[in-house]
Amino acid sequence: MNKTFKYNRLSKDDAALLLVDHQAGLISLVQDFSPNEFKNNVLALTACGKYFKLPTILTTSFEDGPNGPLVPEIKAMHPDAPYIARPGNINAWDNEDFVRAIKKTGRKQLIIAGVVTEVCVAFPALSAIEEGYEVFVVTDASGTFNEVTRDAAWFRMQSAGVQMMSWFGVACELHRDWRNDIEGLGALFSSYLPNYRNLMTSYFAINKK
Amino acid sequence: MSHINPNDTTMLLIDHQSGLFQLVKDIPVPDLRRNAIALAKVATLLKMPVITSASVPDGPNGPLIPEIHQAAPHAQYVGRKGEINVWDSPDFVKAVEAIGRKTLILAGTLTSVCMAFPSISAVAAGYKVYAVVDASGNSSVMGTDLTIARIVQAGVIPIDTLAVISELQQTWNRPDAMKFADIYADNAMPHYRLLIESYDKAQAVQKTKS
Repeated sequence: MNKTFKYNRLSKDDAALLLVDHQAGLISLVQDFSPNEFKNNVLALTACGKYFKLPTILTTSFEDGPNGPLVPEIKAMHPDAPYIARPGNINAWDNEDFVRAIKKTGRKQLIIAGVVTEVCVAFPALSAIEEGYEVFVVTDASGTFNEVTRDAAWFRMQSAGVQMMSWFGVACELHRDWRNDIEGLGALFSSYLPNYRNLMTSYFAINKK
Repeated sequence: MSHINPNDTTMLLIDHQSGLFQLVKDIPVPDLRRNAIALAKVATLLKMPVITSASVPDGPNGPLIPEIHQAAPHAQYVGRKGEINVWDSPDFVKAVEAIGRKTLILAGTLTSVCMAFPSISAVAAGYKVYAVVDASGNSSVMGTDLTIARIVQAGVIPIDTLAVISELQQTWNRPDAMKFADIYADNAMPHYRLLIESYDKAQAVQKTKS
């Protein structure tokens, strides 16, 4: 084991959530997840941002064109979040308003998800690493054309020092301890993990007897 | 085995629309697109009548992919008023009847609906129907599997693009054989182009040796 390794846990007091280009048109290109599964994951991560009160920043790429509008549920969950509709920058980090909004949060840990993985996620993730941020990419809330392009993007980001996570991993690492709020975390999971909801339904039914 | 008789067959290409194509998950969309174009091309080559239709093309389903009519300039487009089953459109049925051919080659997106419904209706109306499964796209593999079972039960003949083209072609001993080869190599089986190229190169090398 690497003795110099330091486990940098996500902290809800030091993390910001960046949701990049979850647009109706771009999501239609996602083939590495089933449509229902992917949208569920994206909304689950969006709900994590709300539940953990993370500063959240929304951005879109060329939304007046075929890339389409931001998925409305994301905006609905974060009505007051900075919303940067980029007129052309493919890498969100090339947009000054976007970077300014991140710096304004004062957070050093960035949780990033977006569409498509090798572009809208990887580009700003690599830029953020370069600028000294700790970057956590949410793999299952980021989608792309196929598994080959996805794997290439993951390897590229990982080798640059990005930490790859799932939305469930993000939620649990932010929460740290069930006792911090059992009902709140349970409600979050039951909304986006139907299997967990089933476990809870069965458990509560047995306990009622 | 009774061959598909190209002189008694009409091709129906239903709802190959840019929006509906976004829903396709049972076949890679580039493959589906190539197969649909291959059908249009073979109909053109054989001077076979083609009728196309689109389901609410002004809405999210989107317009027909332009490649269909480009590959079959003679195709007749019949609009409909909202009917999901194209066979429920009197204009469409009238167009099929006006041609008068009794065999139909049909492909449609989505498979469970736009292909299955009119295929079954046409069998009920007395036509012999070949449903081209890989020139139709569906939202899930499960949906396609059970749809094939359903249409077979109804008497529709399921077939793939390659088999349709080959059965219409019947023999390589015909003057337009190379035009069929192009349809295979450009659309239905791109790997065939690689074989042809390798073969031609090997032949050329042999010739320079001798």
